[in-house]
Amino acid sequence: MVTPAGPVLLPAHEARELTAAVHAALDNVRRHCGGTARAWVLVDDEGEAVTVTVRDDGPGIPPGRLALAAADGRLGVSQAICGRMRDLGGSARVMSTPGTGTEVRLRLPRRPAVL
Amino acid sequence: MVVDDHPMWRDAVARDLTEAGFDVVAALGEGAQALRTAGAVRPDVVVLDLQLPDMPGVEVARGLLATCPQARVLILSASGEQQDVLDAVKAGAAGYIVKSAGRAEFLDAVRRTAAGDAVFSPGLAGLVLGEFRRLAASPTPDTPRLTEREAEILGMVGTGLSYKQIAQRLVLSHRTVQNHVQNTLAKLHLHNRGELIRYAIEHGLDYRPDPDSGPG
Repeated sequence: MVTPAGPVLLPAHEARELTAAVHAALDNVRRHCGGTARAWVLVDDEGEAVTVTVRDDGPGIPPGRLALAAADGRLGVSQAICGRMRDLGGSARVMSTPGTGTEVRLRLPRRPAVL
Repeated sequence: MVVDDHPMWRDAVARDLTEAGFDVVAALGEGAQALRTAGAVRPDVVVLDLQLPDMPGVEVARGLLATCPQARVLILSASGEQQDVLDAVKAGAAGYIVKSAGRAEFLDAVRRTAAGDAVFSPGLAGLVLGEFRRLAASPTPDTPRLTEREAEILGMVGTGLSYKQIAQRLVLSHRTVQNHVQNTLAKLHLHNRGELIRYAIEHGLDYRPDPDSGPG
């Protein structure tokens, strides 16, 4: 876990869903990379949005494979991660470059406080 | 100089360092003692545990850096001390390593600290990034800011990428990546310099901004 010094505050529902999306991303790491891969979870609180990035140092996802999985109906990445983030009004991006594993970037805009 | 209040751990660390070719000039268990001794032995590197029995480790770091500005302080932290680590780094510590790190990782951190490189672990990147974000929430003209490039690179360090990998991905030289990273810490240090000087004055410490100037 790589976090700021202080707590990152979010409404309870959003915190729970975001956490669930992170767990889903980590499950993917375990499933695709086995026990030896390492994963980093970076929490960045930019104020207007909170971004959580999960990166593993596994073999990465071959190009096209991600789209295939969604098309196949194997919605592991799609619903548990992308669908969840969309429902929260946020976004998920999955990137994979050779030699640097796979990166899942979850971005959740904060709703302005209602005064 | 090793400052840690567990005698067995302290001795083991001192032994490892000596075997690795370092000259261990002092191994102490108390903050006040460390501050007194540092002035006399003028260490190049201080390995400093944040959990000391007599003073908060952060205060010891501040005191050390006020009296021995040439010293590079490597913080040893247990988990969960995030704010203390950040405060120590803001005060001028070069980096930190968790106590659970292995011997090889520890010695590498000491080597890099001695060489003058910040020990920029992913954890430190997260803390530094977080601190800039916190400052950006209520900015003043004096508030240090991250460039987009620096924020991008800190984020990449925070996800465990090496400088080499970052350099490849961003098509930059290794040295450029390193400079960007070190710059972020330098900005924080500069921003906190005023506090360091004030601290030294308040505590009657002999603050010497220029280590090459004559006896104070």
